[in-house]
Amino acid sequence: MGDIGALMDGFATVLSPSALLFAAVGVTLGTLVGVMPGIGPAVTIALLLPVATQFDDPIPAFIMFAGIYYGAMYGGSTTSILLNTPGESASVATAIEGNLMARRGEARAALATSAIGSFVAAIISTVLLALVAKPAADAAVSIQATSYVAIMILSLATVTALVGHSVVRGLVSLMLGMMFALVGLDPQSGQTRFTFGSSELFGGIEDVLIVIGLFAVGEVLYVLSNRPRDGHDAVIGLGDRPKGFLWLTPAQWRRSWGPWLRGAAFGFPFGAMPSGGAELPTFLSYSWEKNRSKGRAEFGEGAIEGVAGPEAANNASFTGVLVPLLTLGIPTSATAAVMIAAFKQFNIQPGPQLFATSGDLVWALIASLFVGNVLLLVLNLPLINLWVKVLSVPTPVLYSGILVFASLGIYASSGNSTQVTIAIAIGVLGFVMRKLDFPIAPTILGAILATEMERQFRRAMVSSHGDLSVFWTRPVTLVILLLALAAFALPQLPRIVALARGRRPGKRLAFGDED
Amino acid sequence: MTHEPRATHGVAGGTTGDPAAAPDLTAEEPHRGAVAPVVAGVLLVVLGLVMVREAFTVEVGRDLVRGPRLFPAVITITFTALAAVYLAQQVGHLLGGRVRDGEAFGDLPRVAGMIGLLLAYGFVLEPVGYILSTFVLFVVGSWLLGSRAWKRDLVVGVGLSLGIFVLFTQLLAVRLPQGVIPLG
Repeated sequence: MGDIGALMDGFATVLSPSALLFAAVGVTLGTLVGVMPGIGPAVTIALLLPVATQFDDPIPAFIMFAGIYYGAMYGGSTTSILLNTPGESASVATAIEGNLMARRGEARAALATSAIGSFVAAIISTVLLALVAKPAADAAVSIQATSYVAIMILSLATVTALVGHSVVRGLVSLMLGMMFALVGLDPQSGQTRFTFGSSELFGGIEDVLIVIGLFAVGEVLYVLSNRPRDGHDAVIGLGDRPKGFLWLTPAQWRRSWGPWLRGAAFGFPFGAMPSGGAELPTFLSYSWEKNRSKGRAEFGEGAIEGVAGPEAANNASFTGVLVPLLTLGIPTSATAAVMIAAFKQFNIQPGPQLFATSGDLVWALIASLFVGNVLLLVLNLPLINLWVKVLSVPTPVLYSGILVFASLGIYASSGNSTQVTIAIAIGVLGFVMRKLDFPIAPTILGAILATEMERQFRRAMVSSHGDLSVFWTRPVTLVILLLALAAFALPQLPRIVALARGRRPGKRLAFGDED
Repeated sequence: MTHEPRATHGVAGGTTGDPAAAPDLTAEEPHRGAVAPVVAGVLLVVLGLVMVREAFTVEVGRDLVRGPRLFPAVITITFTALAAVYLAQQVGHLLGGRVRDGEAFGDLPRVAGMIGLLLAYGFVLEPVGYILSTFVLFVVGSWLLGSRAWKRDLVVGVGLSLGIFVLFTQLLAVRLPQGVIPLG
C-alpha cells in the first residue's frame, strides 16, 4: 500500500497551483510544437529541453515534461488528420483513416475520437504504469550486469532491425551513435577517447546537441534541399460542429470505445517491453480493426475505428515506454532517449535505483501524467482553431523558426562555440543520413545507451574476473541475447511467410523512425 | 538528376494506401547514376579507419576486457566493417545501374549557404548579442528556405528574437548574450 501513499503524495505535489500552471504550460507548448508539420515528439521535446531544464528543482521541470511528452503526441495526431503529414511513423495509420474522415467533412469527429481515445488509453496505461513500475524496479535491482548488457543489446537490436529499410544502414547508424557516446574522458580510467587531442572534447558531446543536431538541424537542411516554396500545405477545414456529445454522435461513441480499449491493450505491453517501439502495436491495432471491427467495410474511406484504435495504441505504448525508461534506464524510442537526456541534465540516472534515490520525483512524474492528460482533454478540442492556425504557418517561417529554437537549445545547453560547431556538424550528418536513407533513431539510442552499456559490461567483467563466458553460460542472459538475434529475423517474416506459402516474396517489414 | 523531392515534411513518403501492406515508408523512384551513396560509403570507411586508429591509441589498462580500449575498438572495427559492406553494396548498385538507396541531394548551394549562416551565427552570437544575430538568422534563414515575403519575415523576426530574449532572460533566468542592443 506504500506505493499508493507515495502516488497520493505525488498528486499532492502536482495539484498545487504552481505545478498545475507548469503542467498547463507543458501541454500547451508540447501541442503547439507537436502540431507543426514534420516535427515529431522527439524533436518537440529536444527543442523544449532548454526551457524545462532552467529549473533548479527537477520536479516542476518533469511536471512540465510530462505535459510536453503527451502534448507533442496530441499535436501530432491533429497534424496527421488535418494535413496527412504524420510527424512520426506511429501516426501513419491515423493519417490515413483520419485524413479520409476529414476530407469527408468529419474532421471534428476524427479529432475527437483521437483525443478521447488517447485520453482513455493514457489513463489506463498510466494506472498500469503506477502498478508495475515499483515492482519492476524492485525486480530490476537484482538483474545481473550480464543480463543488463543483454537487455540493452536487445533494445538496440529491435530498434535497429525495425526502423529503416536496410539492416546494414541501421547498424552503421547505431555504431555512429555509440562512437559519439564514447568521446571524452573515460570515467573509470580517466583516459581520453576520440578527442583527437582537443581539450574541449574532454567533457564529451552533450546528448542534447546530438538530438537537436540530428533531428532539428538535419530536418531543416533536408527541407531546404528540396527547394521549398513560400506558403503552406492545404489544411482541411473543420466543418460544422456535429450533433452529439464532444463532437461524436452516439453511433460514433459506440464504434469508438471498443477500439480505444483494444488499442490500449495492444499498446501498453509492447511499450513496456524493453524492446519497445510504438509502431508495432499501432500497426496491430490498425490491422485488427480493419479486419474485425464493425466498421471494417469503411476502411479506406475513413473509418472511425481506424483512428480510434491506432491512436489509443500509440498513446498506451508511449506510456508503456516509461516502464523500461524509469525502471531500467533503457530508452526504447527516440522520444524516450530524449527523455533520458532530460534526466541527465538534472544528474538523475533513471534505472532500478531511481525509486530509492528520487522516489518523490518518480511519483510526481506519474501523477503529472494523469494531470497532463486531463488538461490535454480539456484544452485540446476547445483550442482546435489555434492549432489549425499553427498548421497554416508558411513553410519558410516554420523551419526558420525551428532553426532559431534549435540554436537556442544548442547555446543554452553548451554555451561555447566549439559545441555549437559540433552540433552544426552533427546537423549536416543528419541531413546526409536522411538523404541517403540511414535511420536516425539508432544513432540517438546508441549515443544515449553506449556509456551505460560499457559501465555494466565492465561491472560484469570485474565480477567474473574477466571471463567473457558469463554471457553464454548464464541462461537468462543467453536467452535475451538470442532474442536480440531473433529481432533481426523479424523484419524478414513477411518474406519468409510468403515464400512458405509459395507466393512472391513480399516487402520487408520496416517502419520510419522519427518518433 | 531528375528526381522528385518527396514530401517536404512528415515521415518519408506519402501515406495514402494501406499501412498493412506498406509501413514501408520510402518507396523511392529509382534515380540512376547517382554517385552520392558511393562517395558516402568511401567517407564512412575512411572515418572508420581513422576512428579505429584513434581507438588503438587508448591504453589497454589492467586487461583488455575490463579496460577502456575494448568498447572503442569493437565499435570502430564493427563500424568500419559495416561501412565497407555498405560501400560494396552501393558500388554494386552503381555498376548494376540500379542505384535506389536514398535520394538526390537537391539544392546544395543553398544548403551550404544555410550551414555557413549557422556557423556565422555561432561566432557572432556573443559579440553582437542574441537579439540582432537571431533576427538576422531568422530573416536570412527564411529567405534561404524560399520565402519572398520580406515584410512578414522582418516583423516575425523582430517579434521572435525580442520575445525569446525577454522570455528567457526575464522569466526563465537564462543568460543570453546582450551584445550591442542594451536591453534587459
